[in-house]
Amino acid sequence: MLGVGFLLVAALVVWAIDPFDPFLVYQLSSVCYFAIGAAGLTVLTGLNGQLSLGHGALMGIGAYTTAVVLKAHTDLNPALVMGTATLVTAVASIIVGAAAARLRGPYLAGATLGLAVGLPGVAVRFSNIFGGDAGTSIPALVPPDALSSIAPEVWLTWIGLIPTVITFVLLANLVRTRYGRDFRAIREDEVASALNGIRVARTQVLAFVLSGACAGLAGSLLGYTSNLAAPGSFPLTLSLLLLAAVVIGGLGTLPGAVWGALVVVFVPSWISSLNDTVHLPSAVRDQLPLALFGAVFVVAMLAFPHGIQGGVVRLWQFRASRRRPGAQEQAADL
Amino acid sequence: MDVSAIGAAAGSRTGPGALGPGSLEVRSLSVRFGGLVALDDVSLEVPAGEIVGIIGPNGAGKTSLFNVVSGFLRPQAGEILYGGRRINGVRPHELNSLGIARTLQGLGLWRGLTVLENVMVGARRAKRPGFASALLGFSRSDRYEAVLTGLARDQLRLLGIERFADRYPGVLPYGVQKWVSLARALVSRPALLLLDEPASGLTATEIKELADLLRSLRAQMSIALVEHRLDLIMNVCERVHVLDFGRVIASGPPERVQKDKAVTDAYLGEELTPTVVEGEADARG
Repeated sequence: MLGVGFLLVAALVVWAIDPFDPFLVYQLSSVCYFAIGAAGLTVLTGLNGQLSLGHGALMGIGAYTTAVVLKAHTDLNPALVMGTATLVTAVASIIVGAAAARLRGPYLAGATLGLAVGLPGVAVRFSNIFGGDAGTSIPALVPPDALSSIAPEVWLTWIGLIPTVITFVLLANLVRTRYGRDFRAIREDEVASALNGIRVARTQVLAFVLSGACAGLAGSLLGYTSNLAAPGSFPLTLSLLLLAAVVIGGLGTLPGAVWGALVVVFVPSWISSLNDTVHLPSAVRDQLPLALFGAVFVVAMLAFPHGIQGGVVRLWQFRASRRRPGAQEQAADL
Repeated sequence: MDVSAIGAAAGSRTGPGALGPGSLEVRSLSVRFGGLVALDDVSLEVPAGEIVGIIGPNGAGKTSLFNVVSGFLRPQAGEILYGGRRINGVRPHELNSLGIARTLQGLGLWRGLTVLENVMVGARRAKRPGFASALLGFSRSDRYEAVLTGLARDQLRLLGIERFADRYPGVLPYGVQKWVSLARALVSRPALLLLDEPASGLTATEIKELADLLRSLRAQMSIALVEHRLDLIMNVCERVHVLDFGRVIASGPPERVQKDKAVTDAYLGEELTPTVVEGEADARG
């Protein structure tokens, strides 16, 4: 049901954007990969309570896998390429996740931070495979001949929606079963979790691998979108932006991952265009977007402490409570 | 410290009934943290189908004993027998499938899960669908969810707290939270139930209800009860073991243990009147 809903909305979005605005189309592709990455991270950080500052680097693994695979087999089906990128990143996440399962709080943050800072260096070090600082190019996806009237960017967005929808359907399935409950139980109390038969460390690794797989898929899509896998595409700020998306969208909720992806893609560009309409000294103008973006985040978190999705839920319950007395108390429980 | 006469007599008793399914026996258990002795040559048993109290002053080693049995602590010496089978080296997550359930002093309810979900986690069963099945939303996974929901609801109904099923534990009165933690332990149908201070923080009426519940469970499981509230112990236990400084100083029926000289010396007068306030301090948050 949820999946069908997602598909309908996605189809509607694609239909709505078909009338070609190249920049908008590009932004929607970005929303896709941000949403996938944020969905994986929200399961890990929001549901399972493991903080990762290294998911940008995991996205890098996905993008580089995409580039390396396509260098060898230029015409490989994108589904296979993305699948390979997802798998490779998932395998890499087993190692990171096994280390992460032993770490808590600030130590885990520190370790994953090291991953975010260190991994781009690997690409530079092995420049014969990964292309060094310049990176490796990824050929653009072109629509098949029968659909050649569609611009490549629009085609990419079509293609990008498919893994996005699949990811959300699968994660939505998973979080409403015992896996979702086990993830959350571990976040709340590890001792009680073990006493109730949950294999704590193994489940934590599972959460990390699952979320790493999402990051790999997101990275692959990012690669297709930017036609490049380069160290500069996966800075620490990408990891932080993912985390910001998860938090502002609503930690631990899948719809929140979509909200967050929309915010981190669209808000900066709105601020930039707003900035361009006012005439300010260039020293101010250049720094203003970043400052405003930060301010938007602070204000949003003050207004919606549980993220956008939390605000939506609250609004929904408020409406419901006005129709049906007694529901107010339910809302207070959240 | 002297081991009392009844203690020595009870400690050496090992009848065939003692080793029945769900029974617990520890033999010569010793646990040290560096120089500190938590358990010193402790031997005691919880025969199948009996309720056995484990009492003693704070720091006597009661919770350490539970921690050893549930695999959080490794003993330096001694044996743990469950249903006559040696379970030394058991890992905490294996208890559930062995049929051992334990409640925690601080309850350890998951605050971000509803009451129903809390109990559903406790209701895990051996035949459960795998990761792929859950990921792809197969009907097998859905049926399993429905079974768990049913089990959890039944257990909540049995304890009379079904109306709280969709609430979060943090907003409920402490007594109800205790019942939820009991439901979570009982829903797995354990053969051995380890209760860590179930009465702390409960009102007199609630303690009576708890006593009735425990007596009604006796037919289905063995119960080891660590408790400060002597009224509950006297009310439901067939047998009591008294720990002090990590040693068993007395064992026997509660009314005899109560009169034991070693016990009154070590214990009485100190912990007779734990209050509701202490119970609330136990609760997390």
